[in-house]
Amino acid sequence: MARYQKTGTVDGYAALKAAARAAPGVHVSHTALPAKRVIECYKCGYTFQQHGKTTTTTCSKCRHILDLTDHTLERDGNETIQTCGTITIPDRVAINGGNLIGNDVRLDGTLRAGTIRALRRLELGPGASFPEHLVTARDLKILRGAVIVFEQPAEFRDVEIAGVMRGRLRASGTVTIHPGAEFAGELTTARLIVADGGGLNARVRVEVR
Amino acid sequence: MDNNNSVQSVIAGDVEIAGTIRSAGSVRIDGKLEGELHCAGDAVIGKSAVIKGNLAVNAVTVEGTINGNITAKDRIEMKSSARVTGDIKSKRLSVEDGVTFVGRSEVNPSTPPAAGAIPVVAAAAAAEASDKADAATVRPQFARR
Repeated sequence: MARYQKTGTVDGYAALKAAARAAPGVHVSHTALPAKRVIECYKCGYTFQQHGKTTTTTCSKCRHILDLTDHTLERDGNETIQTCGTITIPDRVAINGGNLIGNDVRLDGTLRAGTIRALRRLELGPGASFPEHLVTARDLKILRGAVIVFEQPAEFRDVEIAGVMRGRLRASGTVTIHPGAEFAGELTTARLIVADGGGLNARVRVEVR
Repeated sequence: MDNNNSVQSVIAGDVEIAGTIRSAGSVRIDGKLEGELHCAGDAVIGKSAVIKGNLAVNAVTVEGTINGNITAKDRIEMKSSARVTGDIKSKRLSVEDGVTFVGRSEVNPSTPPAAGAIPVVAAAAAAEASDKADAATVRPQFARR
């Protein structure tokens, strides 16, 4: 007589365990769950999780249909893109207008006009050139080889520096300086990590408030 | 540097010193120091240590509290429990998450190291670059022929 076990929740794992019971000798240790993806709605800012791969979804809060695809700009343009994926502006590509909104944005080209808004992280490559007031992001990463000079005080949450950054930086989260990277100027942050080999020539204030 | 066996002088946690400490070897401080520390070797500032004064050392690992400037020839290492108020100057710096640091930092790891201190990898790369440079100077001579 088959052993009966009551299952409170029927999911993929419970189904596989049932299959293992039905076919003795088959060992099921764990199941592969579909990858979770955190999505931040570019209309209302609500953050939710999405399982599996899909090109569009609906915001759980504002019901707006969201684009989840990644975009790479291949030539100069002034189009407006709104996506929960990543927008990549490669080297030698110039943006002459339009608004780019993405969960993550990688800028390696030139921003002449228009705006860039990264809901999560903005990555600046070696070829990045932009007016500061046209770019907003929560987190910042300066890639290896990039030399970024901020004329105005810059504010972010987490900042990761793998290249060179100069200016006045205020970070509410963590500033990480990687080996071979350098920060020069004025730094105010809650948390600082400097890897051995990182350069820091600045007036520094690291305090958790 | 963390190894206590390699530390030559130890200022224990129940010791308070007012004055300047000069040491030719390495030092570990767990007590209180009101004054300067000049150390030709490495220094370890323990978690319970409180120092009011400047430090001039070869290398230092900070786990405690320092109110003063730190000048290190080689490196400054700040552990997560470190609290430093003052300016720091060194060739190399490593900072762990959780430190409190208010002051000016002057750390340039890209400054060329002193003679004899070139790491093996860098030396090999330099030799390779030198070979390439030699090859580059030879090539035009072939072209002339």
